[in-house]
Amino acid sequence: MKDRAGRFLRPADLIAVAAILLLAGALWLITGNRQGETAQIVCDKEVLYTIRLSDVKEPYEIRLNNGITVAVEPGAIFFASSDCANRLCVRTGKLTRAGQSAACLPHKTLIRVTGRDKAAPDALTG
Amino acid sequence: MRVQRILRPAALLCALLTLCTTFNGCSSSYQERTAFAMGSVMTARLYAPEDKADDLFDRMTGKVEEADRCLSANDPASEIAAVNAKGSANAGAFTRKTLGDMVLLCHLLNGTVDVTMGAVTQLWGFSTDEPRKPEEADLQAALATVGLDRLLIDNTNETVVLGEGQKIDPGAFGKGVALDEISNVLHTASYPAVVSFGGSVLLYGQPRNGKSWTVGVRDPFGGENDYFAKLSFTPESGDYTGFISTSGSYEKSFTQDGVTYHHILSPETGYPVETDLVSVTVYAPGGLNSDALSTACFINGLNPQTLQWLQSFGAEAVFVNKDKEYYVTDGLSDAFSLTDDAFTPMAYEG
Repeated sequence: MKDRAGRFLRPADLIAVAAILLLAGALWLITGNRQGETAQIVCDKEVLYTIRLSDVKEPYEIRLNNGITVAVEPGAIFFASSDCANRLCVRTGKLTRAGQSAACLPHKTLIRVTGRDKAAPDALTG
Repeated sequence: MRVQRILRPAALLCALLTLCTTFNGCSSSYQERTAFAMGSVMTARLYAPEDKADDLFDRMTGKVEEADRCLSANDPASEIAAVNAKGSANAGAFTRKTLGDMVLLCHLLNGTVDVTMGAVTQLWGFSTDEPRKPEEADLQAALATVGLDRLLIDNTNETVVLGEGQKIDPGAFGKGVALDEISNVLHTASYPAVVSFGGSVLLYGQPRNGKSWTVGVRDPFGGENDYFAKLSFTPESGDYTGFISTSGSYEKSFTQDGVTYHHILSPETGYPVETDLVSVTVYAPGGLNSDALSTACFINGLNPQTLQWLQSFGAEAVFVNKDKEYYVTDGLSDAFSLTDDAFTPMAYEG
């Protein structure tokens, strides 16, 4: 009997394993959510800001020194205003999902959202 | 016994933690870099170690800047700008070679795209902040300068000579040329990469873990980040190179006196081409070819000649018309998957 008990999982072991599985699952969920969607503001080649969109609780604005204001909201980022001529950047609207981006070409400024959305394509053509 | 009771779950925990870390690691396996060039955004996802990515990206942007210094029609310091300004000017080996490639392509596509359209495109001003419909007389005069046979690439004297009033506009090809140059850099570095350059895409190498590269095809009726279908490519070899370009009438347009004018101009009429199509996406083994073909296919429309062109370049395409109907060439049908049900297949019997 003692041998058998040594080789096979006992009820106490099963409970321990189940608990670990639950814990691991919970951990995975937490870290997964924390990773979530990350927004970046890029000027020329430089990443000026990296923002975890799921951590944003209150809306706020970032005034860049090139005439652009970027708005950040819980789960979203967008060009709030720009002093460029065509304002295409503002017209692109809110970015919420991984893979989305908006650019102000006259000011060489890009905002983009990255994350691990499996459905998001690697690139967009158009 | 007691030891075993602790060891087993502990081992399990270790395994699970490893799994978690691997999972998290996957999402950041590439380095993303961005640059602004040729009036567009260039974004590269490099599947390279962080310490290699900067150097690799610098070499890539270096090539793009080099190409732009030669070919830009907007930068007064470029060789093409000098040729345009003087009608005849010195041009280095790269400019002459690339211009020659473009002229050859234009010929092969029966002049449906024409690199000597510069005088016409300048009048419309689509690359400026104030595009406008030109006066008819001005447009006819500009149109008279268009013609591949009036352009001379003189390799002996290292010059490019234009016809009277003629101007070169490499606009429809520039990003394709740049992506070709970038693919050469990637070939020497051998790291898989996805490079997006103003709507044109370069896929290089094999994705990790036997996955496929996926490229969203923009929804011509939606916003900048909307796509209606996905193309998936599963490369068989490590030096796989694929180029995807799209020409769409939604890209640049303006409305004057109630009429909307888009930026894809017919070399025949000098006006925006009249067509039921709203976009053509081309998948080809070369960047310049893919760029030129998407424009030529858009202008020529979906017909047997267009399909013949695609075939002779080893290219495939997705056509979309005003009624949200799409047509996918045979070679691309397995790669194509619809993500927006509002689009339906086009009734075209090739």
